[in-house]
Amino acid sequence: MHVGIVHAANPEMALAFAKEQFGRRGLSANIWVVNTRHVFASTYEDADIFESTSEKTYREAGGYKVMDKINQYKKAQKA
Amino acid sequence: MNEAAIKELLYKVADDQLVLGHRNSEWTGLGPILEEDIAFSSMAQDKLGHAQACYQILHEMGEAEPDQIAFSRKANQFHNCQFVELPIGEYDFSLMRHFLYDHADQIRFELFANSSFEPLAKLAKKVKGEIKYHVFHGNTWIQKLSTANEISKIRMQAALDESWNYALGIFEPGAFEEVLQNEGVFEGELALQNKWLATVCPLLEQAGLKVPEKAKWEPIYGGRKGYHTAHLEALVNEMCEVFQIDPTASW
Repeated sequence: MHVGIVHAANPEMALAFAKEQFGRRGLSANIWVVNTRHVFASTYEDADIFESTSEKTYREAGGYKVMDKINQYKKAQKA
Repeated sequence: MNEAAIKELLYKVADDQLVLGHRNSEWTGLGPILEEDIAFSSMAQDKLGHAQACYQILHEMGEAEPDQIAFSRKANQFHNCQFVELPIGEYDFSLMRHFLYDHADQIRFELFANSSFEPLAKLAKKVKGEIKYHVFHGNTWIQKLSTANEISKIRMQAALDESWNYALGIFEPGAFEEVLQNEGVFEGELALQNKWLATVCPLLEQAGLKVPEKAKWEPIYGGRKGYHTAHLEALVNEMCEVFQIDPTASW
Protein backbone atom coordinates (compact mmCIF):
# COMPACT_ATOMS: atom_id res chain seq x y z
CA MET A 1 0.00 0.00 0.00
CA HIS A 2 1.32 3.45 -0.89
CA VAL A 3 1.22 5.61 2.21
CA GLY A 4 3.08 8.76 1.31
CA ILE A 5 6.03 10.72 0.00
CA VAL A 6 9.13 11.93 1.83
CA HIS A 7 12.00 14.16 0.79
CA ALA A 8 15.37 12.52 1.39
CA ALA A 9 18.96 12.47 0.17
CA ASN A 10 19.09 8.71 -0.44
CA PRO A 11 16.96 5.55 -0.10
CA GLU A 12 18.26 4.77 3.41
CA MET A 13 17.29 8.19 4.66
CA ALA A 14 13.92 7.97 2.94
CA LEU A 15 13.33 4.71 4.79
CA ALA A 16 14.36 6.30 8.10
CA PHE A 17 11.95 9.17 7.52
CA ALA A 18 9.10 7.01 6.25
CA LYS A 19 9.22 4.86 9.36
CA GLU A 20 8.55 7.89 11.58
CA GLN A 21 6.14 9.67 9.20
CA PHE A 22 3.94 6.72 8.38
CA GLY A 23 4.90 3.70 10.47
CA ARG A 24 4.16 4.94 13.97
CA ARG A 25 0.41 4.63 14.25
CA GLY A 26 -0.61 1.32 12.70
CA LEU A 27 1.29 -1.93 12.74
CA SER A 28 3.78 -2.12 9.89
CA ALA A 29 5.80 -5.02 8.51
CA ASN A 30 8.19 -3.39 6.05
CA ILE A 31 8.75 -0.31 3.95
CA TRP A 32 9.43 -0.11 0.22
CA VAL A 33 11.19 3.01 -0.98
CA VAL A 34 10.80 3.94 -4.63
CA ASN A 35 12.09 7.07 -6.32
CA THR A 36 9.06 9.09 -7.45
CA ARG A 37 10.45 9.37 -10.97
CA HIS A 38 10.49 5.58 -11.26
CA VAL A 39 6.80 5.26 -10.57
CA PHE A 40 4.47 4.80 -13.50
CA ALA A 41 0.97 5.40 -12.19
CA SER A 42 -2.59 5.77 -13.32
CA THR A 43 -4.04 9.26 -13.02
CA TYR A 44 -6.66 10.41 -10.54
CA GLU A 45 -8.92 11.29 -13.52
CA ASP A 46 -9.05 7.57 -14.25
CA ALA A 47 -10.21 6.65 -10.75
CA ASP A 48 -13.48 5.48 -12.27
CA ILE A 49 -11.76 2.33 -13.52
CA PHE A 50 -11.92 1.06 -9.93
CA GLU A 51 -15.63 1.61 -9.53
CA SER A 52 -17.61 -1.55 -9.26
CA THR A 53 -21.32 -2.04 -9.27
CA SER A 54 -22.98 -3.12 -6.03
CA GLU A 55 -24.21 -6.50 -7.32
CA LYS A 56 -20.60 -7.66 -7.77
CA THR A 57 -19.63 -7.61 -4.10
CA TYR A 58 -19.34 -11.42 -4.25
CA ARG A 59 -16.11 -10.79 -6.18
CA GLU A 60 -14.53 -8.88 -3.27
CA ALA A 61 -13.10 -10.52 -0.17
CA GLY A 62 -15.48 -8.54 2.02
CA GLY A 63 -18.43 -9.86 0.03
CA TYR A 64 -18.26 -13.30 1.56
CA LYS A 65 -20.46 -13.52 4.62
CA VAL A 66 -19.14 -16.74 6.06
CA MET A 67 -18.02 -15.89 9.58
CA ASP A 68 -21.47 -16.66 11.01
CA LYS A 69 -21.38 -20.09 9.41
CA ILE A 70 -17.82 -20.77 10.59
CA ASN A 71 -18.65 -19.75 14.16
CA GLN A 72 -21.76 -21.87 14.10
CA TYR A 73 -19.71 -24.84 12.85
CA LYS A 74 -17.05 -24.31 15.55
CA LYS A 75 -19.75 -24.17 18.20
CA ALA A 76 -21.30 -27.38 16.92
CA GLN A 77 -17.88 -29.10 16.97
CA LYS A 78 -17.35 -28.11 20.60
CA ALA A 79 -20.75 -29.30 21.71
CA MET B 1 20.97 -9.42 44.76
CA ASN B 2 22.80 -6.24 45.65
CA GLU B 3 20.09 -3.59 45.48
CA ALA B 4 22.43 -0.62 45.80
CA ALA B 5 24.40 -1.83 42.78
CA ILE B 6 21.31 -2.29 40.64
CA LYS B 7 19.93 1.09 41.68
CA GLU B 8 23.17 2.83 40.76
CA LEU B 9 23.06 1.15 37.36
CA LEU B 10 19.43 2.08 36.75
CA TYR B 11 19.92 5.68 37.84
CA LYS B 12 22.76 6.32 35.44
CA VAL B 13 20.96 4.75 32.49
CA ALA B 14 17.69 6.53 33.26
CA ASP B 15 19.34 9.90 33.77
CA ASP B 16 21.25 9.57 30.49
CA GLN B 17 17.99 8.91 28.68
CA LEU B 18 16.10 11.73 30.38
CA VAL B 19 18.77 14.35 29.81
CA LEU B 20 19.56 13.33 26.22
CA GLY B 21 15.85 13.02 25.45
CA HIS B 22 15.32 16.54 26.77
CA ARG B 23 18.29 17.89 24.83
CA ASN B 24 17.24 16.26 21.56
CA SER B 25 13.68 17.53 21.97
CA GLU B 26 15.14 21.05 21.78
CA TRP B 27 15.40 20.45 18.03
CA THR B 28 11.63 20.08 17.67
CA GLY B 29 10.48 22.69 15.19
CA LEU B 30 14.07 23.54 14.23
CA GLY B 31 15.16 20.38 12.39
CA PRO B 32 16.86 20.74 9.00
CA ILE B 33 13.86 19.38 7.09
CA LEU B 34 10.34 18.51 8.20
CA GLU B 35 10.81 14.73 7.91
CA GLU B 36 13.98 14.81 10.01
CA ASP B 37 12.35 17.13 12.54
CA ILE B 38 9.63 14.54 13.09
CA ALA B 39 12.06 11.59 13.22
CA PHE B 40 14.46 13.26 15.65
CA SER B 41 11.62 14.47 17.90
CA SER B 42 10.09 11.02 17.92
CA MET B 43 13.38 9.45 19.00
CA ALA B 44 13.72 12.06 21.75
CA GLN B 45 10.32 10.93 23.02
CA ASP B 46 11.47 7.31 22.90
CA LYS B 47 14.37 8.27 25.15
CA LEU B 48 12.02 9.84 27.68
CA GLY B 49 9.96 6.64 27.57
CA HIS B 50 13.06 4.54 28.29
CA ALA B 51 13.94 6.85 31.19
CA GLN B 52 10.45 6.49 32.60
CA ALA B 53 10.62 2.71 32.37
CA CYS B 54 13.90 2.69 34.34
CA TYR B 55 12.52 5.09 36.97
CA GLN B 56 9.49 2.80 37.25
CA ILE B 57 11.74 -0.17 38.06
CA LEU B 58 13.50 2.01 40.64
CA HIS B 59 10.12 2.95 42.09
CA GLU B 60 9.25 -0.72 42.42
CA MET B 61 12.51 -1.09 44.35
CA GLY B 62 11.38 1.53 46.85
CA GLU B 63 12.52 4.78 45.24
CA ALA B 64 10.18 7.75 44.70
CA GLU B 65 7.58 8.00 41.91
CA PRO B 66 9.07 8.40 38.39
CA ASP B 67 7.89 12.02 38.07
CA GLN B 68 9.28 12.86 41.49
CA ILE B 69 12.66 11.38 40.62
CA ALA B 70 12.76 13.10 37.25
CA PHE B 71 11.66 16.55 38.32
CA SER B 72 12.59 16.99 41.98
CA ARG B 73 16.34 16.63 42.06
CA LYS B 74 19.19 19.09 41.91
CA ALA B 75 21.72 18.84 39.09
CA ASN B 76 24.35 17.29 41.38
CA GLN B 77 21.96 14.41 42.12
CA PHE B 78 21.88 13.34 38.46
CA HIS B 79 24.04 10.39 37.38
CA ASN B 80 24.12 11.02 33.64
CA CYS B 81 27.45 11.29 31.83
CA GLN B 82 28.46 14.82 30.92
CA PHE B 83 28.23 14.02 27.19
CA VAL B 84 24.44 14.04 27.19
CA GLU B 85 24.10 17.35 29.05
CA LEU B 86 26.13 19.41 26.57
CA PRO B 87 24.03 21.93 24.61
CA ILE B 88 22.70 20.75 21.25
CA GLY B 89 25.14 22.97 19.35
CA GLU B 90 24.87 22.70 15.58
CA TYR B 91 23.15 19.74 13.93
CA ASP B 92 26.50 18.06 13.17
CA PHE B 93 27.26 17.80 16.89
CA SER B 94 23.75 16.64 17.83
CA LEU B 95 23.86 13.94 15.15
CA MET B 96 27.33 12.78 16.16
CA ARG B 97 26.26 12.56 19.81
CA HIS B 98 23.12 10.69 18.77
CA PHE B 99 25.23 8.23 16.74
CA LEU B 100 27.89 7.68 19.42
CA TYR B 101 25.48 7.50 22.35
CA ASP B 102 22.88 5.27 20.74
CA HIS B 103 25.43 2.68 19.70
CA ALA B 104 26.45 2.48 23.36
CA ASP B 105 22.78 2.36 24.31
CA GLN B 106 22.09 -0.49 21.92
CA ILE B 107 24.99 -2.60 23.18
CA ARG B 108 24.12 -1.82 26.81
CA PHE B 109 20.56 -3.05 26.34
CA GLU B 110 21.77 -6.10 24.42
CA LEU B 111 23.82 -6.97 27.51
CA PHE B 112 20.82 -6.20 29.72
CA ALA B 113 18.76 -8.71 27.73
CA ASN B 114 20.83 -11.46 29.42
CA SER B 115 20.72 -9.87 32.86
CA SER B 116 19.93 -11.98 35.89
CA PHE B 117 17.85 -9.03 37.11
CA GLU B 118 14.60 -9.86 35.43
CA PRO B 119 12.96 -6.41 35.15
CA LEU B 120 16.02 -5.21 33.27
CA ALA B 121 16.03 -8.19 30.90
CA LYS B 122 12.34 -7.62 30.23
CA LEU B 123 12.84 -3.92 29.54
CA ALA B 124 15.72 -4.71 27.17
CA LYS B 125 13.43 -6.83 25.02
CA LYS B 126 10.82 -4.09 24.98
CA VAL B 127 13.09 -1.27 23.82
CA LYS B 128 15.12 -3.32 21.35
CA GLY B 129 13.20 -2.25 18.24
CA GLU B 130 13.21 1.44 19.07
CA ILE B 131 16.94 1.54 19.71
CA LYS B 132 17.57 -0.46 16.54
CA TYR B 133 15.82 2.30 14.62
CA HIS B 134 17.78 5.03 16.43
CA VAL B 135 21.03 3.35 15.44
CA PHE B 136 19.92 2.90 11.83
CA HIS B 137 18.95 6.57 11.68
CA GLY B 138 22.30 7.64 13.17
CA ASN B 139 24.32 5.41 10.84
CA THR B 140 22.47 6.75 7.81
CA TRP B 141 23.11 10.39 8.62
CA ILE B 142 26.75 9.94 9.65
CA GLN B 143 27.52 8.05 6.46
CA LYS B 144 25.70 10.57 4.29
CA LEU B 145 27.03 13.79 5.80
CA SER B 146 30.59 12.53 6.14
CA THR B 147 30.75 11.80 2.42
CA ALA B 148 28.48 14.50 0.95
CA ASN B 149 30.98 17.29 0.30
CA GLU B 150 34.18 18.83 1.68
CA ILE B 151 32.42 21.18 4.10
CA SER B 152 30.11 18.55 5.54
CA LYS B 153 33.04 16.17 5.97
CA ILE B 154 35.08 18.80 7.83
CA ARG B 155 32.13 19.54 10.08
CA MET B 156 31.47 15.89 10.89
CA GLN B 157 35.15 15.34 11.68
CA ALA B 158 35.12 18.38 13.99
CA ALA B 159 31.96 17.07 15.68
CA LEU B 160 33.65 13.70 16.21
CA ASP B 161 36.81 15.30 17.64
CA GLU B 162 34.72 17.44 19.98
CA SER B 163 32.59 14.48 21.11
CA TRP B 164 35.17 11.76 21.51
CA ASN B 165 36.46 12.21 25.06
CA TYR B 166 32.97 12.98 26.28
CA ALA B 167 31.72 9.82 24.59
CA LEU B 168 34.40 7.79 26.36
CA GLY B 169 32.97 9.28 29.57
CA ILE B 170 29.78 7.25 28.99
CA PHE B 171 31.77 4.28 30.28
CA GLU B 172 32.90 5.78 33.59
CA PRO B 173 33.25 2.82 35.96
CA GLY B 174 30.83 2.71 38.86
CA ALA B 175 31.38 1.60 42.45
CA PHE B 176 29.78 -1.79 41.85
CA GLU B 177 31.34 -3.11 38.63
CA GLU B 178 32.50 -6.39 40.17
CA VAL B 179 29.30 -7.02 42.10
CA LEU B 180 27.19 -6.52 38.99
CA GLN B 181 29.41 -8.87 37.02
CA ASN B 182 29.52 -11.56 39.69
CA GLU B 183 25.77 -11.52 40.09
CA GLY B 184 25.20 -11.66 36.35
CA VAL B 185 23.35 -8.34 36.28
CA PHE B 186 25.61 -6.51 33.85
CA GLU B 187 28.99 -7.24 32.27
CA GLY B 188 30.30 -3.82 33.20
CA GLU B 189 31.40 -0.55 31.65
CA LEU B 190 34.75 -1.84 30.41
CA ALA B 191 33.16 -4.69 28.47
CA LEU B 192 30.60 -2.24 27.11
CA GLN B 193 33.28 0.23 26.03
CA ASN B 194 35.26 -2.46 24.22
CA LYS B 195 32.21 -3.66 22.32
CA TRP B 196 31.30 -0.06 21.51
CA LEU B 197 34.77 0.71 20.14
CA ALA B 198 34.65 -2.42 18.01
CA THR B 199 31.34 -1.21 16.58
CA VAL B 200 31.71 2.54 16.07
CA CYS B 201 35.35 2.72 14.92
CA PRO B 202 34.79 0.70 11.72
CA LEU B 203 31.61 2.66 10.97
CA LEU B 204 33.41 5.98 11.40
CA GLU B 205 36.29 4.84 9.20
CA GLN B 206 33.84 3.60 6.59
CA ALA B 207 32.37 7.10 6.58
CA GLY B 208 35.85 8.50 5.94
CA LEU B 209 36.29 9.99 9.41
CA LYS B 210 39.36 9.64 11.62
CA VAL B 211 38.92 8.33 15.13
CA PRO B 212 41.16 10.49 17.39
CA GLU B 213 44.57 8.94 18.13
CA LYS B 214 44.60 6.73 21.15
CA ALA B 215 47.29 8.85 22.82
CA LYS B 216 44.76 11.69 22.97
CA TRP B 217 41.98 9.70 24.58
CA GLU B 218 41.10 11.30 27.90
CA PRO B 219 37.66 10.15 29.04
CA ILE B 220 35.66 12.90 30.70
CA TYR B 221 34.43 11.33 33.90
CA GLY B 222 32.54 12.73 36.86
CA GLY B 223 28.96 12.74 35.64
CA ARG B 224 28.17 9.36 37.18
CA LYS B 225 29.21 10.74 40.57
CA GLY B 226 27.19 13.94 40.30
CA TYR B 227 29.89 16.25 38.94
CA HIS B 228 28.49 18.14 36.00
CA THR B 229 29.07 21.09 33.72
CA ALA B 230 27.05 24.26 34.36
CA HIS B 231 24.89 23.26 31.38
CA LEU B 232 23.07 20.61 33.39
CA GLU B 233 21.86 23.01 36.05
CA ALA B 234 20.29 25.25 33.41
CA LEU B 235 18.70 22.21 31.76
CA VAL B 236 17.31 20.86 35.04
CA ASN B 237 15.88 24.26 36.01
CA GLU B 238 14.07 24.51 32.69
CA MET B 239 12.95 20.88 32.65
CA CYS B 240 11.51 21.03 36.18
CA GLU B 241 9.98 24.50 35.96
CA VAL B 242 6.39 23.46 35.31
CA PHE B 243 6.43 20.49 37.68
CA GLN B 244 7.77 22.65 40.49
CA ILE B 245 4.88 25.13 40.24
CA ASP B 246 2.76 22.46 41.91
CA PRO B 247 4.62 19.21 42.66
CA THR B 248 1.44 17.56 43.99
CA ALA B 249 -0.70 18.27 40.91
CA SER B 250 -1.91 15.20 39.06
CA TRP B 251 -1.29 15.23 35.29
